[in-house]
Amino acid sequence: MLKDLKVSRRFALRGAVAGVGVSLWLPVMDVMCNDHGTAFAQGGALPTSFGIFFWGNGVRFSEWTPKTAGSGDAWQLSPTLQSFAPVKESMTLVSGLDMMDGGFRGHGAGVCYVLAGGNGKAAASTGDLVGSNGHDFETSTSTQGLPTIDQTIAGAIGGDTPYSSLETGVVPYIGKSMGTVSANLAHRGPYDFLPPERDPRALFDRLFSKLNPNPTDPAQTPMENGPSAVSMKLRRSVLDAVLDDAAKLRNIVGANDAARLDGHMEAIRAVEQRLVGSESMPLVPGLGCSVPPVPAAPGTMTERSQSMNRLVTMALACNLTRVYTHLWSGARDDSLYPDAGINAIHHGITHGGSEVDQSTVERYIVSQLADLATVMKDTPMGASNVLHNTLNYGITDVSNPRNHNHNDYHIILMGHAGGKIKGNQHIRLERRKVTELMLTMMQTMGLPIENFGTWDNTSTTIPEILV
Amino acid sequence: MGGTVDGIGTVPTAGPDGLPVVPIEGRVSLRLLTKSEYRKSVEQLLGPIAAEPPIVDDSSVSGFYSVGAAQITVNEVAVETYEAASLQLVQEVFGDPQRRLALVGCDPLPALTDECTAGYIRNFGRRAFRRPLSEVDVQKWVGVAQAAAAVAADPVQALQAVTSGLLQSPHFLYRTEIALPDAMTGRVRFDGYSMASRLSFLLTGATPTDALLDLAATGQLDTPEGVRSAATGLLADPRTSDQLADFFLQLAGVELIEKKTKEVGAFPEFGPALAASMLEETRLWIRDIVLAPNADVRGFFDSTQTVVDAQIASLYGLPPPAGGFAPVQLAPESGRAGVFGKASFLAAHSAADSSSPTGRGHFIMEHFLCQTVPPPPPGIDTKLKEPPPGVKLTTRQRFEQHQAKPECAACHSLMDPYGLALEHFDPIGRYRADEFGVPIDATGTINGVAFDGGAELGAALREDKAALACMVSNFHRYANASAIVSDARDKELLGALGLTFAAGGYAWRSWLIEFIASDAFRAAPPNPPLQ
Repeated sequence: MLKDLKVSRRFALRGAVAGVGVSLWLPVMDVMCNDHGTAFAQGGALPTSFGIFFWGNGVRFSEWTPKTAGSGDAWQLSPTLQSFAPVKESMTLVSGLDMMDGGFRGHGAGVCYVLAGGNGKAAASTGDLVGSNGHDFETSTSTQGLPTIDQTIAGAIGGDTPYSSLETGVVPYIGKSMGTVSANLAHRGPYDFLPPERDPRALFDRLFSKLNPNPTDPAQTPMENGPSAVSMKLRRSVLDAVLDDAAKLRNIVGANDAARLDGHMEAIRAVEQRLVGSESMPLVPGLGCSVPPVPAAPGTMTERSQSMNRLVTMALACNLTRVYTHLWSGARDDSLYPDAGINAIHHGITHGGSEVDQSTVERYIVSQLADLATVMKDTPMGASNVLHNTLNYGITDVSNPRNHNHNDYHIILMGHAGGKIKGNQHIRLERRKVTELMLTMMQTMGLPIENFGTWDNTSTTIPEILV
Repeated sequence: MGGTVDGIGTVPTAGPDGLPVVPIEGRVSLRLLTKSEYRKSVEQLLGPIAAEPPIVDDSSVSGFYSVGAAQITVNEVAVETYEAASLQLVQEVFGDPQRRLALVGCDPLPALTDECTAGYIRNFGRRAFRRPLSEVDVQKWVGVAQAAAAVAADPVQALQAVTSGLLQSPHFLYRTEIALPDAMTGRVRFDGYSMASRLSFLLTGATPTDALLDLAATGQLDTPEGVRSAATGLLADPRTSDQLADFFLQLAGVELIEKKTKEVGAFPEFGPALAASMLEETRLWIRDIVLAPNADVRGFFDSTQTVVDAQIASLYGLPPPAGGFAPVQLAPESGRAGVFGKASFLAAHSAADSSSPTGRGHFIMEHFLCQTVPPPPPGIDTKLKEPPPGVKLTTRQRFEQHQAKPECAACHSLMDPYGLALEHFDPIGRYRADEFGVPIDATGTINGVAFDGGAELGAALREDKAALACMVSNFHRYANASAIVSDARDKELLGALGLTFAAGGYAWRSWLIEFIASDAFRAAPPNPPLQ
């Protein structure tokens, strides 16, 4: 294997010893793994990743819910979920969970609850409380009052990779303006969001274009004084000067703006870090990790989605990030689905349109999640594959959109989180909270959290999903 | 005016460490430049630019990009785009020796002197940061240039690096507004440089000119008279006419049309080209008709003049004009008047396949009447009943189901009438006399005022005190980047400005000067609105 790759372990690890005070990232390559490919040669387990696949407008139970709960052959895929056949082994379907006392609190409250464990009221903390009777989660002022769990997890496990988290999406948000919560998934706090990249070409450029596709060719590596090294040094010194301006400004602004500048400075440091990283640690293609082909120009919804799925998977295989969020469509989205033959708007279909159309749209959306999982399964990582080392939370804003309920959420977990999640199960739990599942996922990702949620706060977990 | 200090420019006092000391009651707040403000500002600083800078999209919060820009946090993607944009810009400008010399004021070749660098940083820095740099900061950036020259062995590249840094500094990317305590009112009052920025961005959409910064430097923006005179001067700037339309375009939410899709089979003519024409019609109508000098701005609700190009003329059933957009007078039979007759508004707030009286009505209530509508109560099936086979119901007949259930009627009886008044216009804003052979019924009553159709709804809102107060209040939120008007003094000021508005015959431009010169724009509550 080593001679095929023509790269020495010492070269691959050069960055780790050369860097001073800089955390360097390492792509997951066969050369760096132990003989079984189950762990890094240094002894650490292979990285596990966490992701969210979110779509708006809930599910239609009659075609979605599998007839029976159980494990293995005891449960079968429902009509809506047929596309998951190649990855059913790695699927954990959890149905029946509630937003307790939720009743109908709107798409906006749903999105705050299922992504951040927030109660919606927190979402309105900066909002217009005047004359709205507290119903403010669907106004143009809405935002997440709490960090979404991907950011909480990224805060704990995202530090060793170039991107502490990666935000992608497919369907541009069309619908009623709901502040920041519909067009964006990942939030670090109120109005502090990370917008999804919806253009595969732009995502490719961001992730892969600056990486060296052929590190064994000395002409391709940044030279000590070559033009790229000069430009990187200049950029770093400029970013340092900008950081200095920001730090001084931070001293005199109010608390809210100080927090904004903290986020801004953190972002500058992350960009700087990547400059350092790419200078001293070019990408070394290993098994599973390679620079993917440049995506075609933006095409149909399906083409864009499948390009995105491949780029996200490769970002994980190359250890560019360990946390991703994929905003398929926003809460209360109004998009058309021409690729599924549907020329009516999604939110409208759930309120007066054809129920058959509703299921057609849902079947199409989740087929794209199935595609993501299948690509992950087909992408090797060490001795297993990306899907084995990932936990993907597939979630939507409301449960049954037609009667506006937040009871009986239908959640799709994909992957095994490195062997911790059992898979191939349909678990039916009633009168239990979605926050219990979110807490379980965060603990599975290694977070030392005992309880979770401002709405439906809980210390109960759902061990049924675990091995 | 006080000393010039490190990091911020001119503030009243400086501490021993060189950092500014802002009195505890003072207030320093940050408003990120919007995408359009960024582009117009770099053009003001660097001259016309060839390629659009790749800046991240704005976020609309509470209906306005300005409110979003005062709330959102700059993330990694934004930092990357600010860096890429600044590098692209300096490459373009410094690549051209003539533009370089014009910008820098001295030739960096063959050798860059510290004097040349410092002079450039002082001058360009003041323009970019909208206040003078402290000498400490000038020297800091001179140091960046020296280090860059050593690394790159190229003086031009060194100046490029410094310039890209100034364009990435928070002092450029944010409008740093400094307001100081005003003992007379107990509130805080914006300093001269903050006022220069507030005036310039509000009226031209761009960073202040040197001339405006000079007015700030000499204290002329510290008085209502000085501000009034500067605002009057800016209103004569041709860029202002374009910028004044911005508030009304955002108020009407018509930019949504660019992201909308419509059912392909039913509306084959709808696409990006028609959407662009719809938006342009609205922009020109607001700029040249609603906001014409001395015009009554209530024409926003009921003006029967507009401009059309060939595409819009075809949609409105009018003969095509000879060239591009040309003015037309809309006939009463067209049913079109004011914003409710604009295809952009009608299409932006309807669904892909339906005129969506609830969607249109909800928008009108929230944005034109400043009323919030709660979401449906728990457990309601919001599915409208399908008609029996073979029966076609009009949109109105389908939506009347809302009125049949008391739990729905509570809110829908408030929202739907506004939307149902627009039923003569389909999802792309084309006139229809009937649906499935049933004549359109666009009648309704709100607060005891009966109307039939969008033109009469517009005429009713024109006389509606709540609608006019809402417009004033929305403008205050837009201009001050605030989600709500929460401060009692601001509400008082807006009440008085409402009377001024009426007394001046609702002429927007002259009212705008009163607004700008008042404490509603020159001062602010001592603390930011409740977060």
